[in-house]
Amino acid sequence: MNDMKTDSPGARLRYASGGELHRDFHASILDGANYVRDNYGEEALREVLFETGTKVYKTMHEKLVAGDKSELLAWWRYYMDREGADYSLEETADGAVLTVRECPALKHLENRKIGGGKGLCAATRILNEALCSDSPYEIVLEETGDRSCVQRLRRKQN
Amino acid sequence: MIPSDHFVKFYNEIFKYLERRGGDALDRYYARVAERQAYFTLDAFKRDGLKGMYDYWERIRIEENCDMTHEYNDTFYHCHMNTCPSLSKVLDNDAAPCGRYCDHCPGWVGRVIAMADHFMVYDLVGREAPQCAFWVFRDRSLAEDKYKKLVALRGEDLVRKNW
Repeated sequence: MNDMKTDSPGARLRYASGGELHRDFHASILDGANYVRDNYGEEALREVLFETGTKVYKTMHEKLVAGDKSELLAWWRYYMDREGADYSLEETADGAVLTVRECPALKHLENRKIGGGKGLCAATRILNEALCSDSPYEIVLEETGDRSCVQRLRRKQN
Repeated sequence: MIPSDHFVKFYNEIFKYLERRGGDALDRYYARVAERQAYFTLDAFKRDGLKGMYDYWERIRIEENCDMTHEYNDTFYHCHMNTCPSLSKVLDNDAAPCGRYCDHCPGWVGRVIAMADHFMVYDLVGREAPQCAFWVFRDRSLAEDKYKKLVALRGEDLVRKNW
């Protein structure tokens, strides 16, 4: 297991990769999501992303279900740093606000002249929904520009 | 954002979904991956042949943090993955691995190599250990000889060819 202690008290990342980055995998993620949606429908893509959000990210999901946001925040911070994002992460009373001023995935796709990058934003929305399923939290993603967004983790509104 | 580091874990979930669909769903996806990978590789493979393949996998060796050795000469390109980072990440995973995870590599590599008019033989070694090897030949008869030797060693299920 590749656990890593982060600077958030109590937060441990289940997966904390090191070494070089292969940024073309952002294109592979986009293409994989497009392939599933185009050939098997939106529900199929939701199924794949829900499996990812609840089983691959099992520990993060289970913490959110228990009302603990620490691993999600550590994961956002670790991978935004690792991918070289221009971002800020602010904890709030009932959640957190992740402000991505330049998304590293969308930037790489543009550099590679690969279109349709917003498909990654749609996949992120579904992944966020999966991570927060059966939890007291929700993540609301607002696209604020071509390569920017704000993701608000907050307690679900009844 | 799914981090680029976690692509293979997402890929593994796609494979498991397609495996549940049955039929040739996985194989059709490999064809799509090959079409996309050709965008990144085919020009160099056609232009530079075996050296172009060496150059591509040298970049992959670095970017994907591969423990691998590879070489080329006038006759063949050979890549030996001592520890595959892709399967390693899929095995270091709270979600279960797809039983046929390893098949995607010969599935796309073989197709792109064929587009470049070369002949690939792929030794999966085993599907639970992160090791494999493949050879690319200009000459089909040399590839056929390699294929026969590997099938004798491993059995047909663990050896792939692209013709």
